[in-house]
Amino acid sequence: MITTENPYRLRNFRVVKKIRETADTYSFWIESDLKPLPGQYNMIYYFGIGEAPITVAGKNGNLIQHTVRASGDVTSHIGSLSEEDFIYLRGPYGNIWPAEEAYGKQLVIISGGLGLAATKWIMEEAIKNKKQFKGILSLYGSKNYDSLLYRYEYERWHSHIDFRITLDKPDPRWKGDVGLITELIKKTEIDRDAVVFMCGPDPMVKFSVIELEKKGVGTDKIYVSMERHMKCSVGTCGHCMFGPFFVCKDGPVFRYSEIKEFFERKEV
Amino acid sequence: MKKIKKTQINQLFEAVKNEYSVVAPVIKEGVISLDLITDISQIPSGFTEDEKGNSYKVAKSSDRFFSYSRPYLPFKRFIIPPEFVFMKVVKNDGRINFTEVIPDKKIALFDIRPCDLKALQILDDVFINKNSHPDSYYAKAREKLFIVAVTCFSPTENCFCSSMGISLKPEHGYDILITELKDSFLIRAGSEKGSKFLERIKAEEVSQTDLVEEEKTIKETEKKINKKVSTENLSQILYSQIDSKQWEKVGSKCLACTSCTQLCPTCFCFNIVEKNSTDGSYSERIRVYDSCFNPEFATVHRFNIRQSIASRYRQWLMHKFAYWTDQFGSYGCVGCGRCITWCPAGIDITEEIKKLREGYDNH
Repeated sequence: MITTENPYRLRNFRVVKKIRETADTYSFWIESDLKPLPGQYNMIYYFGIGEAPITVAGKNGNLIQHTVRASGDVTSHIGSLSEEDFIYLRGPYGNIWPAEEAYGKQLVIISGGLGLAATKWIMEEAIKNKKQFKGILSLYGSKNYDSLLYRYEYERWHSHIDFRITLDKPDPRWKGDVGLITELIKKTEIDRDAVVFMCGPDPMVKFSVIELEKKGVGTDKIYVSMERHMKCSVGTCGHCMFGPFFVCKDGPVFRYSEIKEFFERKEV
Repeated sequence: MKKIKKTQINQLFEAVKNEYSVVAPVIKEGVISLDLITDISQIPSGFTEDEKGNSYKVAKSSDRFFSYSRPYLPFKRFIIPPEFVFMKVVKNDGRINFTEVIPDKKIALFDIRPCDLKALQILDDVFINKNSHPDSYYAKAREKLFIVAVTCFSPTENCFCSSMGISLKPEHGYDILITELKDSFLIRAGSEKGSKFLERIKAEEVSQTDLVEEEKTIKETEKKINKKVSTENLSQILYSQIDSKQWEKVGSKCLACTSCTQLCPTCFCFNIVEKNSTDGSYSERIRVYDSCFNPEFATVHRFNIRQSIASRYRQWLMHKFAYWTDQFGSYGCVGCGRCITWCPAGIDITEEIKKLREGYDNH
């Protein structure tokens, strides 16, 4: 007799706070008893539309944060939820950022676009345990000024760590760095034995790794949170398969040296 | 172990039928298919398939009871159907209620051959044994399954099960195993459930001569299986051939029709879709077979990662023979040969592997 809880069972939680981050991106703070860890994600369901894997962007007591860009069928509907609405989800799933690997070393966090949602929580945790690291450097690349996420946090982050932003495109409202994140990596001092946590579009990851390698950072010290098509999140539907890995359960966080041969090939 | 007369197979069938809905091979629209049956006479005794490359013919040409080979459809559809509702969702006053759908049918698979039996064990690993979130639907359906396996004495020319390490007479994984001799059936129980069925049938003792005949027939049948895949270091060799030119060549032939993945007894990929009532009060969550050959399969943000058919074929073959070994510790192929017989483009997976191995050897 096999007794198993249905892995597709959804639970309802209350949205207690909704923040409009950009024109199409929202953060939801949800009251829940779930115990996710930085790096993990939940499957969020919308009635009649389906589910989408959404990284846990933060946790504060019994509140968890999800940041959703309304771009697809499911995410557009999730984006329409309001405070006090119920949100239906299952999780948490996936593995976590290996923060201990960076103890005593420089922790470098590199985020591109919405990828910041996947690195923000581990950055917050690192700030809380600042003394464990030799230093914390966080580089964030955004397509343009209007896409900048979590603007209300920058001042606080600046006060704790070396947090730098670059915009792909110049903007009269922006006085900081302009250019691709690879340019920002180039001109930033990074320790040879630094440990890197990265999340962003595949091309960003690929070229950032090249720049990091030039600085002597080993690919076994670079961790990447990957995005693939996920439907079941428990390693059975096959959609997120990436070489021998199921991104949904073996990841989403991978040590780059272990996925390099698949990541750098087309159409794997 | 017991021996029964050929005419007694009906007794065994009826005993199983009393407790289970019986799924067995049938002849349907000119092919050996699979369906629910209520009478032993529906089994296509005497029919034999002639499978060469991607040609298929059925003719009545034998006096044996289990004369045909495995059905063209795999048994997996009676555990995880091609399309089924796994959750019903009702919306009422803004609140949503979920009802999980649990399979309740007691099904007996009557005449499952060693290849398909092994495929079932592989699927058990995928959905239950080697999964940290076991699939409750699969587990329930599997629990209610009664398995009557048959020693295979009728391989087709496309069968290559023996090179995948599968013996014609399975050692385990069944409730009852039937071996057809010239004038009788040998019946073995592989479980307590199976033993109980055998107790109800009046049977004879098995003689040494019967066992000699069984062994001899197995040996003779083994000689008929000429197709093979050389599995020595296969996964490592395939990993080294990930950039082979062979993928382009096979990709230019492959139609991405998904026929191979639908008929493969171990292919497990599925999609989840929602079907809704027009008034917005009711929605069904449905699992439906998907295929790595489908153009939307690996789509992230409207971009399909595997644009070329060559890359989708590579994904399929690499999964079966390389990735699977890392994921589940076995190959994802049982050598049933269905994908060869039913490929409209005439692609033969054993030939593709041969070419990839040659590419490795000549490197």
